[in-house]
Amino acid sequence: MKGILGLPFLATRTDEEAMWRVKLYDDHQDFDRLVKRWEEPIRRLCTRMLGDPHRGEDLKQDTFLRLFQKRKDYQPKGRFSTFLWRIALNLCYDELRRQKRRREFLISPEPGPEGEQETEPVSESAGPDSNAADLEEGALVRTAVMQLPEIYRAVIVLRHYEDLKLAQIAEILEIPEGTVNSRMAEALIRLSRTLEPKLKAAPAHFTSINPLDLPRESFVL
Amino acid sequence: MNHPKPEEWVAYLYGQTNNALKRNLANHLHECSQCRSEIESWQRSVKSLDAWKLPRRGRADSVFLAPFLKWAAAVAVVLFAGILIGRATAAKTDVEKLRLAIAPQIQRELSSQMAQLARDEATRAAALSLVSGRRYTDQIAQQLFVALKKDVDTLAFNADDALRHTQQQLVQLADFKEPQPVNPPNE
Repeated sequence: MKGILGLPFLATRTDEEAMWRVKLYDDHQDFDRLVKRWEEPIRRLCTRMLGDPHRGEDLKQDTFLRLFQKRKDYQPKGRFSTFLWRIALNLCYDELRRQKRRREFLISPEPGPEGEQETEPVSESAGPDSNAADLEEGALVRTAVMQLPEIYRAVIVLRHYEDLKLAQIAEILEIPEGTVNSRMAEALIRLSRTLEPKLKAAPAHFTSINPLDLPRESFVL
Repeated sequence: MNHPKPEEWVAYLYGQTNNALKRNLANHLHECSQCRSEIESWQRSVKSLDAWKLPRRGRADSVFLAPFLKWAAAVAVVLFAGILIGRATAAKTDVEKLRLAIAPQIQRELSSQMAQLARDEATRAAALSLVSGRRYTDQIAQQLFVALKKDVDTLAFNADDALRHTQQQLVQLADFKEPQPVNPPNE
C-alpha cells in the first residue's frame, strides 16, 4: 500500500535538481516534492529552536514561503539542504529576537546592561525551574535546551536531533569548523551544568558510558 | 597538569582528530579524573537529549485517509473481479438473432411515431391556414365596412342637404301671397 501511494519512482530527482527547476521554471511540482521531503525536518528544527510546536509549524510554513521567494538566489554548486537549513535558522533567529524584544518590553521597560551577543536570557541558577525535578524527563531536557543561548542551541539541535556532521553545520552557519567545535563545547558544558544535578537526582536509566571506549565516529550512537 | 581545551575534547569525541592527538587525549583521559568526570557528564547530557521527543505531524492527512483508501481499494478490487467474472460466465449473445427479434418491434414503433408526427404536422398546418383565412376575412370585412360607412355618410350628408333645401322651399311657399291686382275689377 505504502509503496503504491508513496510513488517512490517520483522521488528519483535529487533535491538540487528539483530546486534548480524551481529556480528556472517556477516548477510547482518540484517545489511540492521538496516541501514533502523536507517539511518534517524543518518543522522539528523550528520547534526545537523556539520550544513551541505551534510556532514551529508556523515557521516551517514561513521557511518554504521564503524558499520560494528566494528561489532565484539558489546556487547549484551548494547543497540544497544547506540553503534550506540556513533560511529556516535565520527565520528562527528573527522570531527569537522578536520574542526577546516583546519580553523585555513587557517585563522591564528599561533595558538591562547585559550584552547583545547572547540573545536568549540564560538563567544559570535554577530560578523558575527549581521544581523541574518534578517534570518529566522530556520536559526537563527541553527546558535545558531552551536555556541555551540560540547560537549554542542551533549547534546542539542540528548535530544531535538532525544528525548533521559538524562540517555541514559550519557550512550552514557560515563559520569555521573550529568555531563550531568551540560552540559545541560551550553547549555541552552548559547542558551538563543544567542537567547533571537533575539527572543525578532522579535517574537510574541515564547510564554512564566509559569515555575511554571513545573515540568513535560519533558521540551519539 | 595541562588540561586539553574543551573544543579539543569535542574534536576527540566526534572523531575529528588525527591519530597522534587522539592518543594523547586518550592518555590524558586515563590519567586525569577531572577531565574524565567532565566528559562523562557531557555524555550523560547528550544521551538524555533523546528524551525530548516531538509528536509527529504533517502526515496527519494521509494517516487519516489511509484506512479509507485501503477500503476503497478493496472495494475497487472486488468490483473489478465481479465484472470480470460476470463477463467471463455470461452466455454469448447472438447479435444477428437479437437484431431479427427486435427489428419488427422497432419498425412498428417507428411507423406509429411517424404517423403521429404526420398527424401533428397536418393539424398544425390546418390551424395555421385557418388562422390566416380568418385574418383575410377580417381584412375584407374591414374594407367593406369602411366603404359602406363612407357611402352612408355621403347619403346622410346628401339627405340632410336635400331636407334643408325642402324646408327652405316650404317656408318660402308658406310665405307666398298672391299678388293683388293694381286696378280693381269693374263691378
